[in-house]
Amino acid sequence: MIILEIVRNKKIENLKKGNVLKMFKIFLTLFALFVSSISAQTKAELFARPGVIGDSLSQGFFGVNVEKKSQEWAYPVIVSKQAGSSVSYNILKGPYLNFEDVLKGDCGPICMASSLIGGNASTVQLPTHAGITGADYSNVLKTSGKCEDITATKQVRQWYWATWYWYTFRWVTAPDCQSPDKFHQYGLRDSGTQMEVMEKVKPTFLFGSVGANHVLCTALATSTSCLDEPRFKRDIREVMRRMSAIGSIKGGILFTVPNVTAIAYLESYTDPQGRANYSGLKAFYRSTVSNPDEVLDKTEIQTITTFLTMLNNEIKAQAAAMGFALTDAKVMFDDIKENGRPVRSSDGYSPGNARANWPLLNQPGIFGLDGVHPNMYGHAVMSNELIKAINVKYNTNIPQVSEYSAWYNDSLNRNPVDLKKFLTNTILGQVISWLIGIFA
Amino acid sequence: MDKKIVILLGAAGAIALLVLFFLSSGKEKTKKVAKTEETEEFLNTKNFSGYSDTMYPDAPSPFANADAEEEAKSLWPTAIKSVKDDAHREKVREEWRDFASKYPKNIYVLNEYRAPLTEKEAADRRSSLDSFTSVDTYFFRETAKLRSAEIGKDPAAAPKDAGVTSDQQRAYFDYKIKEVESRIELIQYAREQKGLSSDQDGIADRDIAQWKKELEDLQKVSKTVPNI
Repeated sequence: MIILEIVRNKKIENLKKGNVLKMFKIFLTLFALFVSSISAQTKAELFARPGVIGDSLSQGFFGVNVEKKSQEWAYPVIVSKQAGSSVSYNILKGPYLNFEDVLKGDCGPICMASSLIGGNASTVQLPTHAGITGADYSNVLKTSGKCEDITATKQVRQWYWATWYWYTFRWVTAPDCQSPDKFHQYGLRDSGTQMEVMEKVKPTFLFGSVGANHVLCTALATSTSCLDEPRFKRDIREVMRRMSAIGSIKGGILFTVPNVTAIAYLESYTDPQGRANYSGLKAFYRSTVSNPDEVLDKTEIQTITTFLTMLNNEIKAQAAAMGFALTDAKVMFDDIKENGRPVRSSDGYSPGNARANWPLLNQPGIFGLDGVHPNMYGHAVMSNELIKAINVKYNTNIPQVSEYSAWYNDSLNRNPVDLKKFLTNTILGQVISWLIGIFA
Repeated sequence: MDKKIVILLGAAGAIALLVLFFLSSGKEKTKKVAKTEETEEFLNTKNFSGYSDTMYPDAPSPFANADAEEEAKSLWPTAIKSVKDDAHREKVREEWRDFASKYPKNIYVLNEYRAPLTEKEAADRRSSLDSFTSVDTYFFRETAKLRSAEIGKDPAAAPKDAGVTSDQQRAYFDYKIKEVESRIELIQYAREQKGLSSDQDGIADRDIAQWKKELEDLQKVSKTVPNI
């Protein structure tokens, strides 16, 4: 009898323990749901209204053109979509031309003419994505879709009646509005400067990187004369000050600028006569070097490296001050340059690691044919690095893009064009001229 | 004691459920990828089972998984749609042949639509590219400096050292002149073929007027390059 009683008590005890365990499991599940819901909530709040300021990277410039296809694969569009949101922008059909399409025979003279003069395929009243090719932080503040510099002024005569019998003039200061480039004209139209667009949009999340063109000019012009530290520091700080003043921004992301002397546009060159100032880095299309201005020598590379360190430190400081996520794109790019980026399907197939070059035969690559800007696959890589940083900073769970799918669907990676085989085409001089004109 | 724990856990669970309910009601419906507003049919990708190009024939289609296909079409709709077929490329070739026959000296015509280059011609082309891009970069560099000059302050006078040789400068102007002429020819050809959209007609008018002025300036200044 006593034994039975003991067994019964044990059973009751076990049952109670089992209940506790069950309840604990339910609690854990609920807690996990609760946490993921907070994360979803954060993501929804952050990306309620994403806004973008930026340059060619954000606008989707692709050797040497901006069009719907390339605008769609640009990182702010991809990251926003992955976060369950979207950005709106004016869709361009040029200016200039998609060199890949031309060389592959997909774009004939009529397509080329249309792309060359450009225009808008469609427009929006107020874009939430205001990134424009060729822009830097100074342009964010000064260049609108109508004026190259909204702060520029000139003296004009203002005629008036000085007395009832004397008609004369006085000098007054008036805006000096010169037409901006076509990327600004078609990208911003009458919405104002990138900064003014953001002040109207009042974004909740900001893609705020516009640092690259403060230093990229050195690579394209093989010169350090365009470096301007005071202007960069003054203008990035002013942009961030005005962004803070908007009051709606809950988060954002900045990224550092990769080593511009390591891009595919530049390649090593050693002067056959051993002259130091004729050796260094030259543009990939150049067969000879006849002038020290045509290379970046060791001293110039060092100057650029020092400037880049200053610039990236400032970007990091601004990201920290604004409470933004930060992607160290310089580290990422250095890693790709050194080790490549693995491209692998879910079942293990790999076409090889992607290199920091445009794609070549059986060698995936992250660049477009200009050797400066990423291709569709490269933008997917960039987007994933941004997503990782956002998820860590804001405890969100934005899914990454399938880099394999991006590679698989990237026409340049799937069917590469070796630009060096086209260097005797007369069109190439102008293509390079456009490129240098935009970024140098 | 056990009873207390059960009650506490139950209460916590209920609170979590309530919070969950309030947080999720009316908020985002999380989806891996936001659907685009595109309603257009994916003509080229209907039954799209793989990329049409022959490189990487073993590459498995990521579209074996329906979600992956949806993701790709949502992320890169135009890129996927824009895969061109042979019929399109043949049409483009025909356009080029027609254009090249009308404007054989146009710099935008690719080599494949011209007579094959001799080795010397190919070497000359490379040399011209070097020379043109060198001078072009020099001018972009110099004008970039001038653009950032202090407002109201006059630029420095032309330096005594030209920075380029007269031969280089002549070759530079020759290429620039040919390029602007070629650009105008391209637009005129596209217009003849009714290849520009109505909104581009106005832009083309303005552009051509501006390019003609630029051409005039280039022709005028190129005549002043000394023969030294």
